[in-house]
Amino acid sequence: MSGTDYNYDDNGQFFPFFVLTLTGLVTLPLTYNILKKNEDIENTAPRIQSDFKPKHDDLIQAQRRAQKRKEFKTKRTIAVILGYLIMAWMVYKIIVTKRIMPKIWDPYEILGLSRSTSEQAIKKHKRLSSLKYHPDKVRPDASKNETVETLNDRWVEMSKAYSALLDEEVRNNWIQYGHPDGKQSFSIGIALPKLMISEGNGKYVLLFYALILGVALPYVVGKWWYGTQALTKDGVIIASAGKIFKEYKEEITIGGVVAATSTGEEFQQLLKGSRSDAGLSKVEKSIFAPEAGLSEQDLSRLKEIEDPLRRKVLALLWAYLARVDLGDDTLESEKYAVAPIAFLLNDSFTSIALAFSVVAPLLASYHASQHIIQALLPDASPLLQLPHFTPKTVQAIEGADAKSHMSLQKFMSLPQSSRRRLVADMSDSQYASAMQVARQMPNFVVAKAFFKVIGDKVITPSALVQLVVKGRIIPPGIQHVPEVNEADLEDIDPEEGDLDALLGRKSAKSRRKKPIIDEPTAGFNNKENSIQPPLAHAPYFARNHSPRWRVFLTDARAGRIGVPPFTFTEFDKPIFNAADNTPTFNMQTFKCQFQAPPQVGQFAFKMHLICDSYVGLDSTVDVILDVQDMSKAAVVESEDEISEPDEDTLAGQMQAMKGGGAAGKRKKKKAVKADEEEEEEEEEEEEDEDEEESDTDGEVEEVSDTDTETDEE
Amino acid sequence: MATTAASDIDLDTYTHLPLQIDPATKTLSLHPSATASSSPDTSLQAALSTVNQLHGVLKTLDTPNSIPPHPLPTNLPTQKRTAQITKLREAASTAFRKSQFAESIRLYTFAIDMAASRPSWEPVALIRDELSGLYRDRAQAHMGVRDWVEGCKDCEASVECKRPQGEKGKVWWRGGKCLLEMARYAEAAQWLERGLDCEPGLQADDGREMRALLAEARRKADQFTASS
Repeated sequence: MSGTDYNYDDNGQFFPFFVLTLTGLVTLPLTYNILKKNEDIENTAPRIQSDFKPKHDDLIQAQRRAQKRKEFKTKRTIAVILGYLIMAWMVYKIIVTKRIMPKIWDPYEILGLSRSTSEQAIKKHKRLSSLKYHPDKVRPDASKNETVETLNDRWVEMSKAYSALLDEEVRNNWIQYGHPDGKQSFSIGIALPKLMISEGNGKYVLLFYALILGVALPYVVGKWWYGTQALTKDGVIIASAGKIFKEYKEEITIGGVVAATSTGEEFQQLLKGSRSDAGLSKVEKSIFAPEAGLSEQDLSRLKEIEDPLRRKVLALLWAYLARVDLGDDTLESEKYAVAPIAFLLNDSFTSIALAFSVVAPLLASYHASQHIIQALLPDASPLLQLPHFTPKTVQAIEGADAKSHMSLQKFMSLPQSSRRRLVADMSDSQYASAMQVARQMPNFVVAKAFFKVIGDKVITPSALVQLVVKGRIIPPGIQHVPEVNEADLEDIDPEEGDLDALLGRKSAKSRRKKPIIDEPTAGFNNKENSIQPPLAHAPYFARNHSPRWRVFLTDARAGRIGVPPFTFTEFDKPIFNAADNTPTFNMQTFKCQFQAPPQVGQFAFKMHLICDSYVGLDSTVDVILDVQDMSKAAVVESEDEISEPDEDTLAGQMQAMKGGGAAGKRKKKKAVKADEEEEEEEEEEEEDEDEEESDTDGEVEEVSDTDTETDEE
Repeated sequence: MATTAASDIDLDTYTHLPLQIDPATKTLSLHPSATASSSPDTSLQAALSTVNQLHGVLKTLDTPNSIPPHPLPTNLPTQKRTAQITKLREAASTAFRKSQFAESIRLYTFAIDMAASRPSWEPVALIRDELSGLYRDRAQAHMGVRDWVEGCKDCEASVECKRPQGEKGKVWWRGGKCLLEMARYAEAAQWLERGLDCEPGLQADDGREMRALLAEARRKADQFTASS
């Protein structure tokens, strides 16, 4: 555009607005992000009350604090503070800078007339003022600092104003362009400081933009992208997952899983530089000692490793599991630091095992996670989970050569006196704290497990089956467990229109409702209708962990997984009474949905319920999935009460045809028959749709008895 | 068969092993002057013995160029080794029926050694099948001389080779009986439960004996814990 003349904002009056908006756009969402309450379940769950502190508790707590600091989002907080500072500065600048308003040319103002003067009055005013202000008539008055030019200018302005109001053409110009002289040059205000636009600085500005676009942008995007690519969906480095995959074996043991997790690359960040093999001999000496209790197989596996970092990691892991004192504080803190990383890598192993669908490695992986959290050796007694229980105590209880360990539930079911006698060498306060912890362990005891289809009395092939597991949380050692109420074992289908219950949502109404304070369960309620169990009691594990229960079905004979695991982290009814922390024995329900196999028959499954944080609190239940023919389902449906259809609908007419005796619409017999056929087609279509729509949360694996094992070295 | 850990196969580094080869028999071994450190020694020895064994078997082949024969059983019945094993097996079972238990055990042991030392290109499923049957029958022979411990071991080995076994769960019954006779009641109950889980088709009459045994094991286990 020729004739355009850009006015740069050399007064700097628009620049602050621009910067203020931009920083505001970035800072305000970031503020919300860092101030938002952390909704992680590990932060909202209650804790098991216990005053037990293991020997190196200070090191463990230091690890916890370090982890918290890492999660603290320091960079974001600093960015937010900076943003607010810049915004405040801009606001200050805005207030301080004198505003230079662009003047709107207003003829009325120039002439000192009100808006409502008529044309006649304006003409009269013009004549009068020409007498007063015309330069020929007036002398410049020195006292008012008037010169000839100012007088001329003033007269020109006034005559322009008069023309704008009286003369058509000028008036049009004024209306269209805001100035009587017609189209003016464009005046564009650009909110940039003159510094950037002035002559010599152009190349620096260009250089700055080139750096941002060509260097900083690719670097930032690349770093972010490769960062996201580097982790699997479990949050594990891909290279680590690859190495763990190579360690997978069908006959792997818990010790093998632990050894597999030691291959992770995450440990390289933990043990850097000289720490990668410092103290290795010391650690190995303590775990090779027979008091540690490691098995020959595990020790020989450790001996075969040549990579010093991996060897140290595995040695530290075994030292952690065996609860062996290493003597050196640095080594001790490293020992407590490797356990959470191994736990994370174990998740990766679980995913790999799930892909192979073989039960034994999956079970080994879940048991390994239990042992890592509780810091127990694979064949150690579950009683060591209680505070102040040492291997010596356990030996005193079980005898020196016990073949199998006494389970926690069994120990706690002994009468109080004999229990106390067995652990005679423990002080009273220690024993009391151990019992307190035992009485708060969430042991899920299955009362009933069955299959059902919502809205149907019979399970048909490829139907959406629900596995309903009903049980109660009965901590070990609780006497006077009430009998199971039969009514609790029923699972009522929600009403047809109740979308919330069908989809498993909490209803909008109950979500908005505030928890009632005087209800006894208020203390453990964090969201409506979802009760969180207390965090796992794991004094040696340097992270907060909320226990998870996994339910899956296996085919016992083939040793394969039938239905992949469903994970549950919360319950629908309160577990403990807030007042005195006694268990409520409410019947809890777990529901898993999967697709039934397409064949008719009886399928015998073994249902495993595994808690991932405590050793020895698992249950297995034999369940039978009875898939019956579609015809049986149809027979059952007709027993449902369907109201009689209205007479004037198609259904009513069909009813009339079938039952007879309705108003005679026999003429439409032919048409009705054609419609009948159409309806049948529609029904078939609907069935097909149902099959497609059914949720493939998990599919039942087909079991083949003729499966021959492939070549194995 | 010894296998090296996946982490030891490092394609980037070359490890020079102090090996030597015997010029006459062409067997590999570690150089005697090498200072054997504890960790690589056992796995290295195992690997060397595997190589030597393989070499030995390859030498005895009568196929042209000493190439291993086709693994699929095209002319299986004529294979020397299988024929020998079958012969030994039959001899052992006749000895068992004549109550010559020691002889039977000896023959079964021979058969097992032959079956276990088959070269590695033979089909694994077949070997496992064979071995599981041999272990199962040897367990029975051990039970004949009331050697419960060995019987138990053989039952476990049989199950390890092949599961599920079919054969109406004989191996489970035998293992359970051995454990019961050793007064390990709880373990017997566990073993039998495992058997009932694993084997198909034991719901009806076929499983009757096993269930009876299981009931007995449970009863005795309860008695034992009650008295202790």
